[in-house]
Amino acid sequence: MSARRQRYRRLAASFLGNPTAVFGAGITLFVLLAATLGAVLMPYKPGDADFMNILSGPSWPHPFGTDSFGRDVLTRVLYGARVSLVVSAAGIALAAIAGSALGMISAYKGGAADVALMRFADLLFAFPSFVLALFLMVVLGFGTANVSFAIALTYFPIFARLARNMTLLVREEPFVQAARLMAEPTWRILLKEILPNIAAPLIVQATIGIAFGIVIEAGLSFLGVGVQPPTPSLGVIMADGREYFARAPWVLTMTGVAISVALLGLNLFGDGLRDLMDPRLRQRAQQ
Amino acid sequence: MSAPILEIRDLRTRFDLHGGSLEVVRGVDLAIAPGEMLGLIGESGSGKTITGLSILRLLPGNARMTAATLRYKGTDLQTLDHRQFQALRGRSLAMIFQNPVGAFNPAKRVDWHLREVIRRRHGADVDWAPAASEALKAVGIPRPERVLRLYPHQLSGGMAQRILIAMVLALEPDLVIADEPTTNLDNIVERQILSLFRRLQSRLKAGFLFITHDMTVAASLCDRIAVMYAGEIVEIGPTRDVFAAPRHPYTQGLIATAIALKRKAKRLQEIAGELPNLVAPPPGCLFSPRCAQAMERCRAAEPPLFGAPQHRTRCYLAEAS
Amino acid sequence: MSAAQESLMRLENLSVSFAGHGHGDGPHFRAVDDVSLEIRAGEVLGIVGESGSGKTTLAKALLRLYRPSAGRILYRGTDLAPLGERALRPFRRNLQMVFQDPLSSFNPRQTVAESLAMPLRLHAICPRGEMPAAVDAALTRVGLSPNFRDRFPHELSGGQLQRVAIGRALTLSPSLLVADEAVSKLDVSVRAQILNLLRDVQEASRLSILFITHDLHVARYLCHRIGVMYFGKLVEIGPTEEIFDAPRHPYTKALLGTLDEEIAEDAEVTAAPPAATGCRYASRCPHATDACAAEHPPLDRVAEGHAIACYRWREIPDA
Repeated sequence: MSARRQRYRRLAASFLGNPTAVFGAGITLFVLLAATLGAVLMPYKPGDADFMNILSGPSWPHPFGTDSFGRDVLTRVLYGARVSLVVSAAGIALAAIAGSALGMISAYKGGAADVALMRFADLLFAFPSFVLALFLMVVLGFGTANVSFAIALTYFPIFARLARNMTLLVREEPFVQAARLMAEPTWRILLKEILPNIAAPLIVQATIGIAFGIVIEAGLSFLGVGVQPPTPSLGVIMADGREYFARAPWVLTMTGVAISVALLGLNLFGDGLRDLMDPRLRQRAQQ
Repeated sequence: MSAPILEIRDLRTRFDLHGGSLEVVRGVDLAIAPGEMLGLIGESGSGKTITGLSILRLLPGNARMTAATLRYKGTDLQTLDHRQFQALRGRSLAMIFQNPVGAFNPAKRVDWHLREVIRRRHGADVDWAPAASEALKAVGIPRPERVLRLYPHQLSGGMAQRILIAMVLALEPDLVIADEPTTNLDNIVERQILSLFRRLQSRLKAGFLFITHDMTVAASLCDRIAVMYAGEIVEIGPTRDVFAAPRHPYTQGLIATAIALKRKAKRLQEIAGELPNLVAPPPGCLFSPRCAQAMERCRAAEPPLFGAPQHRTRCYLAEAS
Repeated sequence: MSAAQESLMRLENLSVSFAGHGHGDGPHFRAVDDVSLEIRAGEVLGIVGESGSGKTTLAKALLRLYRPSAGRILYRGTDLAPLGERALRPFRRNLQMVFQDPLSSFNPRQTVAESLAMPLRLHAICPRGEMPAAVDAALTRVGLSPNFRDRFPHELSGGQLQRVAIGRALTLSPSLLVADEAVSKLDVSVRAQILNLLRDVQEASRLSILFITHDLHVARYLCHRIGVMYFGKLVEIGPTEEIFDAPRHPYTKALLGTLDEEIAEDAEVTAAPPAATGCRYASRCPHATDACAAEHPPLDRVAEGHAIACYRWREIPDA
């Protein structure tokens, strides 16, 4: 459909015109590439121990130095980033799909179900997210998959509430009423009339959520209740690095830098996406 | 003949967009004498609202305005810097908008708004309360005490518009620009507000620019009318003359439709077609694609304004007169 | 107009209440208050009123976008009021609507062709292969070129979009089309186009139209009969020309401007909400008596097909 393609092209042009967004997208892309290709391209494996060379500082063969097992820190950070990203993304994806779906349905139907969902979301909101995640890990047991689930549960109310509020607005729009008058089935209304018109803020929220999820994962794994060693994740590496911070500060530091870079990229990218929505609406009104 | 309150020559306003620039106001000339109400009539996309906003420097960021002449009481407005213009705008130039409730500060009550205006006019030391009550009574609110304590969101559209008119009365400006002030109001309230405008005009010796899309409203209120189409004035003259003998086919169409509705016509006369695309306008007269009386020369070159100094028309059909 | 006209829809004592607002009526606000009227096949019935009169709520309740709190909505004999979404489905085809704001009545993410194809698809009006042709036909029928099919709603002007809206409603060949202030947001010259289009369509297909507007003159052009609403109540209803030549209800007279001097200059009177009991217009009416304030008058028959809700209409002189 050429009209669609034209529209996407216009959106892309808008996005590329926003320097912060492009910068954020660039960093995010860099991080993704590093975590996938970069890890593979490294000559070391994350478990390759070299006891002749423990806790050595940054040098050409080991740009981030080595840890207490003589493992190359850069390699571990790259693999760790991959794990952290996957864990976070999986959790956020689950929260986004479940939260948005429930939020949309409850807003559209209204009534007791809506009230129940919102009270449940309020309950989850009442806890500071990290504390909630920690509690969940204790209840569910440690391990990588459960970290995803914990992230999903802490972020679920955000998507549910956002989707619900937006749906309440869109539901009253004449075009939705027109669809009802045409006897369009409810599931189709939700999918084709409502969802496309509320997707943008949800996507922005997801992008920022992944950043947030990485922090939670890092925190949980740092405390030992998340991803379990020897699987590297950014939090696990930080836990190692903390132990011998006095002798070899680079481990903890470089991992922290890696997390910050990923967060920066994702946040800027998310902001850029958000900017993309607003001026587009304003410009459209001027036409 | 006293000097005009407002004198504009060749006003042009354009918007800079991604795809190019869009000239929304294309060379507007007008003058308003003290005590005179000029109606600026046009449909959406005619540029009438942007004309008003251009005069008051209320344009959005991507708009560019130029004018050969833009004088208020002899002063060239284009030479004033932002601070000087602000001082003038709050004191001598008033604007009444389409959405009255939006013109108020939502956190402040009605009495605060009136007080601000009165102080601006008479100085900070004046006893504003009696003047505020007087102003509200003058617009048909017999017991102002209750209304003065209300917040803007508690006002109905009609009530808010009345209060705005009261504020204008209290300010005693020299120029009032009203942009579709009755469009969102119900018929009965609209009639009341229009009669208030008549009262406003007789009390203040100000110049009025009354922007509207409604021909009949303009006919009942204004001394002179200017009809705008696609950013240009296509006909301008005394109200009586323009209504009795409209020269431009677009004016004729607008009047015919307005009258037809009031007089139970058999069929409503349509003005076929739509506004031209202003990014790539047609050659010649901008109205020619929709004009039943269009001739070859209309499509070739844009007509200038023809006719006697009082009643001018941008149409080759008016050239003979 | 033929004498024996089939009754298409009949509203009996219809009321629609919303929670909150409380006009001393309790915690509920009656947007539509005990309204009874009839829409005949092939006729255009206008409902005129100002904002707050309940005319839009009436239209939406009739189409079952809202659930009425009392009364019956008889469509060809079947009461739609108590039916749920599933039971209403077979009736949906027959009852369509054109909205006040053309731009928001279309999904901004869908092209014109997609919006027009939706009803065709949902009701299996034509086979898949014939859809593009059907969409083009729908566009042509309302005076638009098929070139519009791939445009998005924001690329069309208000007048063009309203045409598409009418085209969309007509694809289902409804018996009743509700036009809710369908021309109010359009420019005067475009208004004429849309009104002419509605008239042509109505005459060609003998469709019934419920035309909601605040502009009496627009109603006069299009409607066979006109009903006047005030604060949820139907105060007068009758053939168009009778309403215009000889309005009876004081509010109708005020709307038509024949009682200019009687309109209260007092802003607070016109802004104040009416009493919850008694004639709703009593607080503004120059002819009100104590009897008027006691109970809202029922509809009284003035002439064939002309009814009025006023105790004193016989005594009030014509303007």
